[in-house]
Amino acid sequence: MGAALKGRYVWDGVAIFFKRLFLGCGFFVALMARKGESKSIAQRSEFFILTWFAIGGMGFLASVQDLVTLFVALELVTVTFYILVSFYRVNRFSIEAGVKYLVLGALSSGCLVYGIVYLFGNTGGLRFSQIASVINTQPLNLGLGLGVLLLLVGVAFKVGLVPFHWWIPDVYQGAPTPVTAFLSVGSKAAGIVVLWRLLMGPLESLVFVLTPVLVWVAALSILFGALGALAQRDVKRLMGYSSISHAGFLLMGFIAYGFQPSGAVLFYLGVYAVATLGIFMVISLLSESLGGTHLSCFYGLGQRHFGLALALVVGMVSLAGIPPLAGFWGKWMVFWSAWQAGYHFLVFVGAFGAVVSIYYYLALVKSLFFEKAPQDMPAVRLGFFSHVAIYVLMLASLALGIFPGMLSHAVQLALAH
Amino acid sequence: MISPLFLLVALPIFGLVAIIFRAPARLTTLLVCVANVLVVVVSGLQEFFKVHSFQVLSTHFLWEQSIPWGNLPGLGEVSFKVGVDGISFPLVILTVVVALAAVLVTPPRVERERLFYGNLLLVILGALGAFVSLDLFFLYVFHEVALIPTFLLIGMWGHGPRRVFVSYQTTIYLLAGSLAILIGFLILLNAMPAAHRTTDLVVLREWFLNQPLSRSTQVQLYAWLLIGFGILVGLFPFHGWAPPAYAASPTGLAMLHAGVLKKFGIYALLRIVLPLFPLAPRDFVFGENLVSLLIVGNLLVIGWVTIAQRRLDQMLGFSSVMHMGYLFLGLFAASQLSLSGVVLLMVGHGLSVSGLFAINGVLREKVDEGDMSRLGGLAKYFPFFSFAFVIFALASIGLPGLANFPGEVLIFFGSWKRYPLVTIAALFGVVISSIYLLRAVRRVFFGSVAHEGVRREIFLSSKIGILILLVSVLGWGLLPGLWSQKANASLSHWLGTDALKVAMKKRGNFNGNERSDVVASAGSELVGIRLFFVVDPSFFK
Repeated sequence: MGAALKGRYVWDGVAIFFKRLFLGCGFFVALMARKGESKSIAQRSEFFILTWFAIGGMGFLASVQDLVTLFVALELVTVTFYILVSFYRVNRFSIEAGVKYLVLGALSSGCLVYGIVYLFGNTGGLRFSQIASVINTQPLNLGLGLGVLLLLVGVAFKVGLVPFHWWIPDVYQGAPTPVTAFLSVGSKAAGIVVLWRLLMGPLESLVFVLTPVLVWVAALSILFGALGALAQRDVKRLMGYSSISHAGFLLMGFIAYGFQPSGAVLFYLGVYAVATLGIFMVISLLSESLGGTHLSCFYGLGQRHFGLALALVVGMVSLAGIPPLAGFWGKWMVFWSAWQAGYHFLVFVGAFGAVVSIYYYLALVKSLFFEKAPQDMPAVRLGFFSHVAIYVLMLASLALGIFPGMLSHAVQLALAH
Repeated sequence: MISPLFLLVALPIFGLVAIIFRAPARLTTLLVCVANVLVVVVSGLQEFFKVHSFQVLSTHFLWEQSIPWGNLPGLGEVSFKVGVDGISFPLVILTVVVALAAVLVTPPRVERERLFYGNLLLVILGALGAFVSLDLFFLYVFHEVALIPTFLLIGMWGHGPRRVFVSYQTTIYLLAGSLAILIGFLILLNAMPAAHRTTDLVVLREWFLNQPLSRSTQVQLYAWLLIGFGILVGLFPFHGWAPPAYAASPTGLAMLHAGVLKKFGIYALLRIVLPLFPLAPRDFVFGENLVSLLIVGNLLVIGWVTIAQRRLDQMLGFSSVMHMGYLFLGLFAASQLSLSGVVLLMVGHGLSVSGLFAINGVLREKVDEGDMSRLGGLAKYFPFFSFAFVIFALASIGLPGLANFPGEVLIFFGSWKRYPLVTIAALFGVVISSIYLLRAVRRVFFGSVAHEGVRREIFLSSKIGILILLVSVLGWGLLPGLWSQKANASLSHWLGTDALKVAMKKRGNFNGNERSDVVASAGSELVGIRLFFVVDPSFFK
């Protein structure tokens, strides 16, 4: 535990946990974007530099204790992603996704700045400790409330929570697959860590005001993501909707702990990251040889490339939360803490979402195994490191499911320091 | 020494690993199943010859052992604890026997063999693990292990045009049941103070014996768990998934699912619900009337639906759901007599129904026709299979001397006091099942040969598999006394016939007659058993 920049930057267990997550995520994204693996990443040197910028911004966000630092770090991440999303310049979907992300991202950044200004005007400080001392002592006036609201709107946009989720399906589908993976794990985790720093810092005393709102946000995110994904036939789009649903589960972890440091959130994020990276690893490496990410491109893959298909199945089943895979323990921890805290309604919604979600996760399993492979299915050649990475992530989902103690130990360590 | 139960769980995992590393799949699976049977037989016989060993069951678990599993999120320190008693040991025997038969009956040429047997091994692993675990969470997790393999097995190797739809339906339905159970577990664990919280079933039982839950919590829990386990078993309004799933399943899965996995719900009700919330069934929403309605629905409504089936596989699917009604009757009546009947019938039904599905699977390979009215005279081609089918059908109906009879009759006797009207209805269930099963026998195997193009090639292995089931059906029918005492001892230990009295006393409304049947049953039921089954090993001791 330490601090720098006059208390604007902390170094604690949670910061380390998230920084490791970001670095790991960046590592796998870099593996996906290697030469010979991804055509969509044409200018490689720029791509890796931008990836580093994004990781740097995310790492800064994990330690942030000050609104201006928060804004600068968040913009570093967001602006980098504007470029990354539209990186496949010859593809019009990528450009469309980039424009959408740019417009909506700018809107949310505007909200964020507006919120910061209101908070600064009403509290006279930018540091979390200063804001907290004002919020703790003064009643909530209109300006302060507006500031908190706009701040949370900006963060909800980054995490992809209802009702600020509309950008997700289009952007996820259009972006180059390594970038989609980075968005769905790195960017989401960055949003979560900002939410963590805000809700467990200056906004902690507003728990009774915010919780009723957040309960509905979480419930609607879970339902919207799960129901929206049912009709999707494109894997990346499907993963986008499913990520909205998972954002709802993560928010449930915050609510359940009453804005206290929440092991459930860290645990859920860990298993979500492993499973999602595993899925995107396979999709990214295969989609170009298979000619797309539509479900029909994956028909019969289980016959031709059993190992890769199995990795996809393990990732999907883990996200669906079925034991003995890691995702089950994530769901269990969130449900358990929410039930203990008395949010039974959220648990029912979550259970309903989990039952619905098995349908679309199995949709991919169906195209992998039930359908016949087309005659002209192209052969897929993957490099050695790609294979290793895919199997490592697959085994990690399995191992963390059978021995969840490993991850929960790490989570406890992160919370202890 | 390491408990043989760990071996039972480890063997399928070894088999899986071997198949992944390209060992011949069918042979590996067969070896695993044979090894499992040997483990059960050898270690069972060892115990059998130790005079006091099985008597221990009245207070202890056999081969009890636990491995510390580490700190599970939100649950604290958890151990993988195994052990069997008179309730679960018969189910373990059932599982290994049916698993062996299921692999043998599966025709030697299967498309994508490694994946098929890998999935089958996962289903076997799930069933075995669930029955040997003495920990709430391992019980649940092991049962879930079989979920995705079931999806793949029905969807990839299933029969009929609707198999993809059926595979989705089955998986989603079963997952919904599992989540209802999970919510039940949330309520259960939340009801304990954090310092004593545990998932160890033995500790849980003692805890709730001394600190019974409040009436409303018990009822709430009971509702969730009854719906959850009811879905897994196919209790009357939640049975929709089962018949199409069994009709569409490949033979091996149909045998394992209908014969073994389905019993998990009943077993869990017996293992978790009855001892932990003994009063809940009485305080349930509409109380006994609702329960009676469910049982009658299960037996008579589904019975009539079964009569109306035209296809053999659909009919067997519905009949297996219908027979769950007897188990529920015995379970809800909850007298010691009826509960030991439940234990016996779980095994008996598992053996006979998996035999029926096995023969259905063999016929499906030989004749491209499932509609019973267009079949006939198959006994001419397949004398052995038709003989076996008749025996399994008679066992299913409940003919004395065959596997289902001892369980059914104990359930009828044990339930009479509490549910006289339902018991009468259940007796009509026997009539109904004899209508549809005997009619099926006549239509499929006798009469004039109605179908052309019968492939007469028969694999020896499927004959052996069915022979194993045939012997088991006869054995379980002729020597029920071999197990009924152990089951009784364990039941009275686990359910604590005193537990209810204690609970009632604490609540202050205990009257002496409330469970007089239970208290008195210790003597009278042995007389009953001896009356019906002369072969009782205790005579020879």
